[in-house]
Amino acid sequence: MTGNAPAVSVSGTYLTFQVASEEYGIEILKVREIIGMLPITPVPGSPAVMQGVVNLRGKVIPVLSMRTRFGLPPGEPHPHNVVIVVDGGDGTQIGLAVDRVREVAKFSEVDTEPPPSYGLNIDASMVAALGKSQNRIRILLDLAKVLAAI
Amino acid sequence: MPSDNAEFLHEFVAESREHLDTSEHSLLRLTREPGDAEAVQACFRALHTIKGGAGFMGLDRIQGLAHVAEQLLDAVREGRATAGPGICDALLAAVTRLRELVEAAEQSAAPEGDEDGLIERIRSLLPAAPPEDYPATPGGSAQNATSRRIGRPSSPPSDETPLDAIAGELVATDPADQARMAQCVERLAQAIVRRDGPDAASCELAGMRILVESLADPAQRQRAHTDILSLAEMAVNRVISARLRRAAAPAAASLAAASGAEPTITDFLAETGDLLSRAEAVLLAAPHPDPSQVEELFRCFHTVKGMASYLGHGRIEALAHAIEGRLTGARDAGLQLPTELHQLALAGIDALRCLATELKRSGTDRGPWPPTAARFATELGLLAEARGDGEDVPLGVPRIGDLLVETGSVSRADIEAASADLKPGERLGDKLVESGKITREQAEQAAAKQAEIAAKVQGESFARVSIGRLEELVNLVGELLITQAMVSQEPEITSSPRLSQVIGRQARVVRDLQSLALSLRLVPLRATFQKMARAVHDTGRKLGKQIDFQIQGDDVEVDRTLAEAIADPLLHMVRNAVDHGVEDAAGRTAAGKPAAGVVRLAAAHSGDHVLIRLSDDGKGLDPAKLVAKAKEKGLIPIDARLSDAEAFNLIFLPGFSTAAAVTAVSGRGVGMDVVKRNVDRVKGRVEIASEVGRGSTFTIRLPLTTAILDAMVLRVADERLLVPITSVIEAIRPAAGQVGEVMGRGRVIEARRQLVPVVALGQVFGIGGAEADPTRAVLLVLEREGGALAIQVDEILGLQQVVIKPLGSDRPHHPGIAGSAIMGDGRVGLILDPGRLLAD
Repeated sequence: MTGNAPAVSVSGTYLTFQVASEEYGIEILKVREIIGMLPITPVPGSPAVMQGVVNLRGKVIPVLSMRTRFGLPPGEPHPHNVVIVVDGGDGTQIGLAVDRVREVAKFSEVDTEPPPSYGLNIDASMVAALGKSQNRIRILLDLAKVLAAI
Repeated sequence: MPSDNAEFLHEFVAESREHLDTSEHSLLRLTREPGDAEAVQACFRALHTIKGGAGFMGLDRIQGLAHVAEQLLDAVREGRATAGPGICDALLAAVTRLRELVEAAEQSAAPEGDEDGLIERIRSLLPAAPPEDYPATPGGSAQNATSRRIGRPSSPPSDETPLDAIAGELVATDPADQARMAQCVERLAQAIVRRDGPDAASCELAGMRILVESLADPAQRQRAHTDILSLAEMAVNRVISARLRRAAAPAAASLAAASGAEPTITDFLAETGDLLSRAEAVLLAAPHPDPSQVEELFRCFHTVKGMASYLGHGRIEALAHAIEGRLTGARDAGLQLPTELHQLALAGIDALRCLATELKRSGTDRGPWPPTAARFATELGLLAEARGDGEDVPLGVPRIGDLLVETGSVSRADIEAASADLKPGERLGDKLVESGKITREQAEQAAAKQAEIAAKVQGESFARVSIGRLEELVNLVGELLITQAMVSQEPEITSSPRLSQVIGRQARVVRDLQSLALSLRLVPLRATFQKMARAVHDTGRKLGKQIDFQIQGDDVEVDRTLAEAIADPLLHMVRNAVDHGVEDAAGRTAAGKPAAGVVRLAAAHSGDHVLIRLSDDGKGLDPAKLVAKAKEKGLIPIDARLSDAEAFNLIFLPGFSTAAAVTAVSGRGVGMDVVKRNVDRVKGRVEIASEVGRGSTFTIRLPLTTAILDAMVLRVADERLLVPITSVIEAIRPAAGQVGEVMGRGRVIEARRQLVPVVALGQVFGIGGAEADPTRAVLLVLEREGGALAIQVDEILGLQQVVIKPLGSDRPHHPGIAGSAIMGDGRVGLILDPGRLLAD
């Protein structure tokens, strides 16, 4: 890592969601759909972040727990819990289990800041930028890094 | 190149692969029977199509190689060369090289090496004066331009500069150099008009010509230059897109046939109509057309032929080709057209129009010949008189008459008598019924039988659908099946007899739909077997062994993934059979066998399995030698005593190779162990039977499909697990004390007079809440490689047929999980792999 400036533009439209008390954003273009929480089948022997697999209209897709990914303990189930289905590359789909979806927000270059090198609760390499608008700070994620094998 | 290039390339690659398979198959047939005209023709057509496609895609090297190979085949076809081993080998080499080039094109990579040597080799085999396959263009391009309205898909002149090259020159030219710019624009225009007709990009070209004038004015120069370049880009894009569209037309046509939209047929009909009118006008204007008019006629038919060939309108192509052929003589001699050819050409135009009308009506160039066309085709000898039944049956489909004779309904003499005075358009079956030789029923049966065979023969050529969409279909049908099951269990429905009856009927339809959807994944083994034919040919030649390779049951269908999975193992086994199985000629003679060794590859259905049998009449496996060798290599204990079957199975052990010397053909580290592993992976089995001196038979037993599994559904706490029913030996509810502990080896149970390790699934999979006490659980004894195994589960829920799905994740998981399936309630169940439950 050389410097804090993001290599590529992070401006764009993001889907924001909440995990514990923080709000995160992922590029809307990578989002396929949002589905309500389904019964998840755990897969023995898989890494902790992999919560299990679900049936998405006849297709079996993995679901990653964002709480585990961000180093948080599992939360109480809540009707707001959803799975955000994202493009995993090569035509694959991956579900991200989050506490709740917040909104679709646009961030222009002026609304974003490079990620700080300290002070974040999550692994900084996953963070593309901080998005600031409406007096809130959203952590804009680099999806590829979030999905990176662990 | 436009962005949709990738899609067309994909289409081209897929088509070319098929055509290469066909070529290879035909060539192998030709090696065995040098006089097989049908094989020559099939190969010629296949290469011709590849050449045409490559021309459109701008794949010059593929086009070039296919072109010389095609020329050579043309010479063979016309009897100017004989298909001896030299020619066949060169052509096989060309097919192999074309395959490499096509693969490279698919990867968008530059192919390794070059094929100049090969092209030279093929050229050297060509007879002294190969005919000009494309007529030289007579002077006055403007006059002839209209007669070349349409690109000649099959005939890209070799001197053609690619459009992007000219466009590139245009970009590089100094805008102030008006003359040079104008020259470039003209060259671009010519290149486009020559191959794509004057309408191809007429607006852009006209605009460029006007703008070139403006270049003279320094004030307007910059603006004009920019506009010229963008117009050039548009023109090139438009023309290339059109070429690609035409290249993809055959596939598009077959797909469009399904969807009902048929733009290519409409285009084709319009163009054909124009060309035929033009030819007719020439003929009517001049009772004795002069050479230049003959030339024009020739081109009209040639173009119709080219287009028809591209779109797969076989009959139109054949007729146009025949007429073109008749005109060749007059054209080459530079003579006026003789009266009889004049009449023939006119009749030909009528016949082609007839077929075009038929095509417009039915959307296909198949089916019964329209009478006018049938008469003309018969006259030209295209429709054999002896056949006379007015049917256009594709190759490999028996004629009605033959079927009737075969079933003993009628004698050969009756058929011949009936077909002798059969009028064009009349059907032989009808005629025979009329004359009381057969009953209407017999005729209909024969027709049905013929249709069935025709469907089989042509089955593969209907539509090409991407695997992704197919999988999606299977998925959706699976989903439908599950929702259907959910609906049928709704109390509102079960309480109403009428509703449940309707739902029951629906359930049957859905099940039929599912088996249909699954059958779409099936492919005949033909392509796989043909690859083996090639391997036998090559291996035999390399080793100087004469092999009679026999194929049987190549129409047996297996799941696509299975066909792919067994191709490599089979290839290895086939090479082994030729290399190690069959003795050399001297050895065979000494053993009193014919010099040519027989290698047979046969496939057949057996219950819900497919058996693929590879047998040779070679020296066979000697169990004593195998055992000695295994002992020598330390693979089995020195005092081991093995049955013959066990001894044969030794060859599957890693590190076991029976070849005394590692030859170039087989025995390069990959052994039968890899074969076995590959077959195991698709839930298949390999069995060996062999007799010393008599030969060996390897039988691969495969499940019909990898997509469906008959599973036993198990419950462990809240999770459902599935185990293949084929691996379940028995279920035990153990009494107290039946499960014992073995020091350091965990729990065991005695089943079938042996101690079997017990695996508590809840424990190894970390499922909380599983029953810990074996006496309150169920033990399932499973068969697996390396001895039986018992799994401990809470309950057996029942049997279910499930569609196997991948886990959709490349993250690691327990090796004992082979995949997943969607259960009746929509949740995902995991499928166990008994062989790997204890892998760690």
